[in-house]
Amino acid sequence: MKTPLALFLHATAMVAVAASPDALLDAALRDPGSYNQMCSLPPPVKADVPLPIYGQTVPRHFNLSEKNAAKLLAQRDAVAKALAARLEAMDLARLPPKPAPKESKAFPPPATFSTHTLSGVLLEIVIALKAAEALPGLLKVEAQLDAILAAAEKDPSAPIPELEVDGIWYPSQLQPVDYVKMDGKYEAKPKPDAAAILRKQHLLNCRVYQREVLSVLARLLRDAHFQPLLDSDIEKSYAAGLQEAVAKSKQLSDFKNPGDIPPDDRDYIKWDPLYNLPVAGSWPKAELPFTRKLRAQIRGFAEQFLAAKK
Amino acid sequence: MKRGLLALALLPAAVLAAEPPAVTDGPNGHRLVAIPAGTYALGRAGCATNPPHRVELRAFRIADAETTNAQFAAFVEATGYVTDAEKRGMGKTFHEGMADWAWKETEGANWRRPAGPHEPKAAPDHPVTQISGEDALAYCRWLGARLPTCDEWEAAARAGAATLYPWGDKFDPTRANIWNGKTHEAETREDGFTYTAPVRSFPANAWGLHDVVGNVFEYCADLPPAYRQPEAQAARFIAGRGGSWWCSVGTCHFFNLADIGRMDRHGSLANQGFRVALEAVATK
Repeated sequence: MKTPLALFLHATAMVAVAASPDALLDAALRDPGSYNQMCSLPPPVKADVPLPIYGQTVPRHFNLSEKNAAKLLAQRDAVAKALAARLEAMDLARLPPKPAPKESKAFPPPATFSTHTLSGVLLEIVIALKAAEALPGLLKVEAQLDAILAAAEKDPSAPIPELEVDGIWYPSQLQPVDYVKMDGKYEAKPKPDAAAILRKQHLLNCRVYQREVLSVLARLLRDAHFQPLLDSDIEKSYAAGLQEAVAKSKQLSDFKNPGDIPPDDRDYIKWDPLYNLPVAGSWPKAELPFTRKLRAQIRGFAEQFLAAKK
Repeated sequence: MKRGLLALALLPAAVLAAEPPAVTDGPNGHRLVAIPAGTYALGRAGCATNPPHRVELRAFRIADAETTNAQFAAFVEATGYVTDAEKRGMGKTFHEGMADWAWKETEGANWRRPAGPHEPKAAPDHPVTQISGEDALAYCRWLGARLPTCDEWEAAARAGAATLYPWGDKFDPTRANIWNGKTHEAETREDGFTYTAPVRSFPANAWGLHDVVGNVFEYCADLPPAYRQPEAQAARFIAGRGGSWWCSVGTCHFFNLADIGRMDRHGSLANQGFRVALEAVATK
């Protein structure tokens, strides 16, 4: 039987563990708390993957819940620091091993991916915290992705990390196996070119993350009201896309100020103070073709922002 | 002539049967439809998740209706089971007037009060919702049942029909509970309901199954091949079929016999439910 002092020490230790920013991050990444029902397939991702302006390329199944976001925001500075450190330490060429996939009755379910690699939830956390502290780490990770993609173009045997995009849906030509019905069950039969197909999948995922990391970089700069970005064509494209989305929706166009949004919708519909317009969902309102120039522009803005902060 | 014989041989066995399948009483008040063994033509041209395919199915039984709150309550009472939404402390809800695609994280929403703690209690004869795929599987284990596979679900839901809906290829709002109205701002209630309807409110298909289209998305035991890669992701998902009261022409158009959705196997929403399947009764 534990003494009151032992119980007190145990409870204190538990609070300390729960309060650790790294532990909070791990917990949110393993069990983000919210989820999407995918009853409509997301549109197929274009092979060259455009840049989603301030949004995601692929909607995810698993999202950061408000409850988890509030927990992280309660320790915003410490968590943002931990997040920045995690991104700066990230080496996509040497990813930590993935846990073995398994179906589980346990709740929360065991993670099927490392909490120290890129994920949609990790990028959501950066945005939720408006973690400008993460800019150097994001720049580093984006440079790694760019180098991986460049090497893969030159050398068909260059290694490609297995990054996970949980909402992506691969059409049959990007599936490495055929499913054959045997004894009432579908058995997976690897295609003769399975290795090459898997490589294409992993490349596509790297492209998705590269574009999304660039998008998050731009989003952080926008949140920080970085004028060169606000004056750029990126912002102009976003504004045009947003205005078009609002004009197309009777419901959205009825909202003239933030107070018009019904309380039940406020998780989903936010307010853009720059244009005084509602923004529904996390889908990008506009995208731009990915070019080297666009990449250099966004990275240049981020570097400029960081230099000005020094 | 040969072509005609081949086509006849490939028709689902039950299409050839003169009588609809037998319906018997099962455990916990489930009424079970006996689905005959045979070769079934399933899927639909152009459907990415469910292309046309033929399968051999063994005989099985499937509930004529979605599992109700009363049936789930009996399970909870007998076992003390706690659902994923109760463990998580929230379920996702939707109220008329919310934006298309918007779902709200509602603290305290669970199968007992699927729209939230301050909303009405779940009606006994409505389908149980705010249960995850894992919760549905736990119920099935208790009952000595299982979830149907995607192919079993579709064979039973089609009842021999090759069309998009059990009654034809054109949607009829009086035959299924979906979201009527251009957007989710307002329900025009052509089907008479805004949220879930009591099970068996709409006409059954040719084999006696109700609500295979609409009311609640129904969990199935397996993921279709299109969703099985990568393997690590597949372990986190469960399939759902038939669409739900929330589905609308302008948003999720999966309220039909072909499309297959996927969801977090621990996620709970106010439009997800299930129907049970059991093995066929052995004949002497």
